[in-house]
Amino acid sequence: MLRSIKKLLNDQGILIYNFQSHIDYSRIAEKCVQQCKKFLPTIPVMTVGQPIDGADAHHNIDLPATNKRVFGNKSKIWHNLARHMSYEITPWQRTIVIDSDYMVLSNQLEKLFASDQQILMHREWYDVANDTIHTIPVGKSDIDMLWATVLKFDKTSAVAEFFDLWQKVIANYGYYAKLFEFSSHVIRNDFAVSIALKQLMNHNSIDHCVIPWSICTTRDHVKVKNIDTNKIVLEDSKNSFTVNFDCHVLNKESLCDAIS
Amino acid sequence: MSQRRFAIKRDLNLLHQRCEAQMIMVYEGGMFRCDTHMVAYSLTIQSGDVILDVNHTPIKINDAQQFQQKVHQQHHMVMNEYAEEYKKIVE
Repeated sequence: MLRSIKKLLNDQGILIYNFQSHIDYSRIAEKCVQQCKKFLPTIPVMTVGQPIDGADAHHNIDLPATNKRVFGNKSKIWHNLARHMSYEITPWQRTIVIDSDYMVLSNQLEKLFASDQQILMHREWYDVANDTIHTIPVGKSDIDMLWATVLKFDKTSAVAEFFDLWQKVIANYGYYAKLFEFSSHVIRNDFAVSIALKQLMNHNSIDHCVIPWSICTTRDHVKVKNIDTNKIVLEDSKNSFTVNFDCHVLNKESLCDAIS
Repeated sequence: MSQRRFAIKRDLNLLHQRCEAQMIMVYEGGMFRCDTHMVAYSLTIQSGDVILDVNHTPIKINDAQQFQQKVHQQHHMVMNEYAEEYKKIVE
């Protein structure tokens, strides 16, 4: 008898991590889930950490190892060290992990689900306020940083190895910080995934794993003035402006305030 | 630069960026940028040809006519949206 492949064809979904810190991340994650549901209605969403209303599924895990990050000008606790477990956590064959501060305002992510590349991440970032496109090196190395903000992966043996390498890089972060001359004070998943992928490819080109459009990002000094389902109104020292496509917001405090 | 001119320039840049992303189309698991180059190139493709996608992955085009149609559709959809939004910004 032929096996039904109907379920397999739809075997894809979005993972969003949510851990409380000094910022009400649940509020941001809830907005993120709402945006996914609006623009990607056929794609299931699973939250990891603390549950969020509106998500299709939830996976409980304990608070991950503590990390620290500077918010404004103060160093605060930041729980960002669980995403390397996504391979074990995801129930789907094809998954996109997104940061909760990545505001989905289009169906652009559907293209990543349709792509057959096993791993995809952004490399170029578009500075929304200054109209510039940059890449960032990992410390003083020749490795270009990939953004862990949006990570598409399939469940394959190569990808399992990538996640294994990612965990090893985090476990030995101090070593890599010295090797590539970057700060070890804050563990950055962006650096960890970039090193892990480079290792997976035996230090050859990783161009085929790059999402072919830039990740739109607002810097810390750009504040979110207002957000609704279809647009974000941002403000910097020059003027306020509207963004109506997927956008990664670094100023989480103003994002949180704008959502309430 | 006046505030108004600055705002127009910024909005046009944002629009351009959005359209660049929307130009990407997925076909048979490969990603293609439906720009003017691809619109012209798609006319030369025959069914069964293998072409490279944006990530340099070889993709076999089984139905050249369908591929060509999809490229043109995506290109025109983005261009029409660009024209509409452009008008709103500069008015």
